[in-house]
Amino acid sequence: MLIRNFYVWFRDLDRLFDTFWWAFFDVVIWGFFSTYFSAGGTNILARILSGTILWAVLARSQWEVSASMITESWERNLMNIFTAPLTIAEFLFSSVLLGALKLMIVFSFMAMVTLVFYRFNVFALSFWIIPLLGSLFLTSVWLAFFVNALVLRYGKGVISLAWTLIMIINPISGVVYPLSVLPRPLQMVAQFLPSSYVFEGMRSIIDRGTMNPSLLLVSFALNGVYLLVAIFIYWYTFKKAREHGWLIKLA
Amino acid sequence: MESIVEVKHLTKRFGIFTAVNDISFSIKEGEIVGFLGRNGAGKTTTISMLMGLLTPTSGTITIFGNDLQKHREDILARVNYSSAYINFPRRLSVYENLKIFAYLYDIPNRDKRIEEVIDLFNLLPLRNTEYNLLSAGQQTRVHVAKAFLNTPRILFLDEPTAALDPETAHDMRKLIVDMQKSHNISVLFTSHNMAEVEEICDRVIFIDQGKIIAEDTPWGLAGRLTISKINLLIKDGLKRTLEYAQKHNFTASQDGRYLTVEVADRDIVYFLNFLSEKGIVYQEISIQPPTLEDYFLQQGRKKS
Repeated sequence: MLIRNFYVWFRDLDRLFDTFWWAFFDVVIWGFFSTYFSAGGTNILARILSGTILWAVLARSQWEVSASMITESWERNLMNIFTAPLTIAEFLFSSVLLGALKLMIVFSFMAMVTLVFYRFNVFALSFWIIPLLGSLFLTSVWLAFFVNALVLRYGKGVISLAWTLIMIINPISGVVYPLSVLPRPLQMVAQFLPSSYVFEGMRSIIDRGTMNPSLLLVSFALNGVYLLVAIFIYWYTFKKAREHGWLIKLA
Repeated sequence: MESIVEVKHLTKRFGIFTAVNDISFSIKEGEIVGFLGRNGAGKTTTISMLMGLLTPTSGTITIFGNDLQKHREDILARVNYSSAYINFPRRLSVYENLKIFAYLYDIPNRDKRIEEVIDLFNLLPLRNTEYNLLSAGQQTRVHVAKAFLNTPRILFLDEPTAALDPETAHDMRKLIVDMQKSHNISVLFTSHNMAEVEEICDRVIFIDQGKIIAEDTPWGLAGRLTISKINLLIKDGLKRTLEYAQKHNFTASQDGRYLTVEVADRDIVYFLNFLSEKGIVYQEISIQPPTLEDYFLQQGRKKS
């Protein structure tokens, strides 16, 4: 049995992720977190819980948008779906709607849990919570489209990217620490990430009761660009999937 | 009879490999066409192109007089598909699965049609059973029930009885044929069960290495072979019979006292004369004319 598992250990993306990916990000994220809080900080509970809720919303809704295609592949029902008179636009739209529904459910649930367990009210972020969630939702959608394009192209072997790829943006989004904690090169990368503006805005609201609207404007603008690019990538990959037989392999 | 599927010079290449090589055929309204070939011959690739899952490299597919590439959704609304190699969502019940497809195919009077199909395919006792709790035979009935939901004009069936025992397979074939005849549905049917193909297909298209090598009725294809099998249970004279077969280059296979000799039709009378003249004593004798399976096997031997 040792030999059987060892054979697949370095060929199976899931195994590799389990061994290295999560461990790496655990260390990186908590390392930055520790660096920030060892220098002293205020509103720690609000920052951590708000960050955790907003990150969970982003990650869960991204997975939900991705899951639509992936679960059909797992169930071997994909051929049934794509031999029905369903357009790819209809398929993607239903995935996005599911993601939006998941976002609302996850957010409501976590808001309730943090209130009951920690007496923390995430609605202290006031009306800003709506555009913050909106921006994170757009991020989850273009990420999901990109991930699904990768799955279409490379098949079932990369399906685990649907729940792992998002971790790349976690450390540089500054979920529970400010971006100033990051090394300079990573701070520059963060400027191109819509989610980093959301979490900076979140901390601004917690600390000062308000945020600079330009943070949201930049976030939505970046989301708009990335969404268009992701839609194009997905459409193009789907076209190629039908030419090269990748869709049938996935099914 | 009018053709409702026209395939012209259809080719599909994957890089340097040609899976389907310039094939042309048609399917007439109300016809059941068997689409046969060895594994890797190009059957699944062809059906995938007919279902719009795969884009042809060249050639055209016209269904109901419309180009499939340009009118995909309109055409698929009047077509359906079933395969032994795909599943339905496991945690959904039979009814829930059929309901989803009723929505996907935008079927009018959805609930009524679902109940009709459940009744036709004897799925009423299983209506609320989760798909993953069904037996292989029951799952196949659900697959085929879904395929008839939108009362399609064309049905693509990819080995629909592959996972079934002989009795269940027979019942399924009867159901398919009854439904096909009552609604004048055209069917393209793939199978490795030659007896099944002989039983239900009006015409057979034989594909090998991406090319159509034969197209005829099942008995027409079988009739192209001129060798029959003579089966004997020999009491006395087995050795002499084997020597005779070897001398005349007849293929013979032996299992104890059972002997099967493959004899060209023109030589059958000489073989029977030999048996009589040499006093070969046998308890049983039968002459089996060539079947579609024999034709299929002969094609395989030719390639190897």
